Amino acid sequence: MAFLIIVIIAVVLLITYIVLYNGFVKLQTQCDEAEAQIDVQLKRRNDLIPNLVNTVKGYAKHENSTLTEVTKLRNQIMDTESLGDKLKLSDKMFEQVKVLFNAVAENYPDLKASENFMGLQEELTNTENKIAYSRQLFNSVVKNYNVKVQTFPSNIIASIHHFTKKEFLSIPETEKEAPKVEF
Amino acid sequence: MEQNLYTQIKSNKRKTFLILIAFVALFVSATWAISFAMGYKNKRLIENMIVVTICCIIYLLITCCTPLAASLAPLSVGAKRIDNKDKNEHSEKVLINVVEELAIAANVKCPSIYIQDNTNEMNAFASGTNKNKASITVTLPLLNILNRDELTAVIGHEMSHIRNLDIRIQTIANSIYDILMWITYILGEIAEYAFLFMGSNDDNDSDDGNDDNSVIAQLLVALIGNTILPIAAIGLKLALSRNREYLADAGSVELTHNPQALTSALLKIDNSAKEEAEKEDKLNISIGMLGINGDLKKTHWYDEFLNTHPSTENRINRLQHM
Repeated sequence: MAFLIIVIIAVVLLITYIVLYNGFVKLQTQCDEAEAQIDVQLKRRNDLIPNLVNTVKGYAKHENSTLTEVTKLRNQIMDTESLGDKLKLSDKMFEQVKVLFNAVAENYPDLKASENFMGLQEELTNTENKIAYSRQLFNSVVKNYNVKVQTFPSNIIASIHHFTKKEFLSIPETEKEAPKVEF
Repeated sequence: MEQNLYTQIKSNKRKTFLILIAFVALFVSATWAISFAMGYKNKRLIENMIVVTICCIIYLLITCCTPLAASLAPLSVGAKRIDNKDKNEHSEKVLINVVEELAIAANVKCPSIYIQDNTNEMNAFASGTNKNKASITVTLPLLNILNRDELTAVIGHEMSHIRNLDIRIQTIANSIYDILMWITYILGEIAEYAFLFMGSNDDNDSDDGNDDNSVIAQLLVALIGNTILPIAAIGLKLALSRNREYLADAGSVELTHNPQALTSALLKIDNSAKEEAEKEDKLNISIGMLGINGDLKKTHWYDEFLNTHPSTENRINRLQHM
């Protein structure tokens, strides 16, 4: 009788162990997927740049330095490996693009109503939102993962199999001084 | 404890759980009532209750496990699907972008998007029992009147319905409601026939269960059950619907972190609905309980309990504490 009870307890423990471990693998994979998703959105933003620059170039003939800066940053991003660095560079580049875009819109108000411009404006908003939401999702899945790593009893499994806490993605501070665009 | 987004989400989920428990309790009482009213006693009473329960579970499984395409609901109201093409209108492009953005935030595959242009009502609803194969439909007036932030808030609300599997929960709740209505009908029939049995049995053999006293008891149970059951069932069904609406509002804020946008969207929708109701002087009934706006008429004190959606005032109140 006592032997049977021990067997039942052992089986329950084993099943719990397996369930907890698999839970970790799932959450870990979710974090990896969320990270890859950010990368996808960053690439999308990068690919958008040439089109934007071409559209704006005609109206910002005097702003070659900003345009060169943007192109330089874009090339730099393509050579960067770490996601954190990519994000920082990409955000910096995009700030410049936005300033340029807004400056053009202010100086040529008729342009604001043109469908092309509105479409591009929407693309800018869309891309930025997608990156923001990807970040948000990443932080959300990392939160779930971290909670599991630290709470009992899953923290036991975590330490056995070396699942460690992950870092959240912090929202970068916008440049203290926005670059000026002169026409 | 101070009210915030997360405490509200937690309390909403707890209320859903309580409502489901109440549904189960109601169901058990109903199976008892029907078994008792049919004349089963003691051990056979419990056996009969179990048989009724098993039949109902089979019915539930059949109705809830047959997957329904997410395109059924939008197509049935005459909505048209939109895809990402170059010749899209600007507003269509914006809608597609917004839905894609929120699908990323909600961690689901992007739902198919439909626009309904045959109505003057501002409304939006979600459909589909699988959260990765869902659909979102938006009426043309809503798309044209709301700005981008407000549209995001409304789509966030619908995306929360999809993510929380509300469509599936509502389907199950509807099936349970159907079963309870069926039991009500049977109780009504029993009450009718009980009159026939009364007075036609002279022996007081208690094994038979057909002596006059117990027939009266059965009749009473049948009559009371027939009256109370439908009220309780519809009350619970509507309470569940309102509860999930509050949760979807909170979910929208969780995704967008912009309660003001949802507030202003709800106000715009409410105003437009009131204008339309005055013009047409009839009820605007949105499809099912997943429309952002429920039935509309002059407000009465009992409206809060007879509506599938909570009142806009209450929703905005809660939003301001997020």
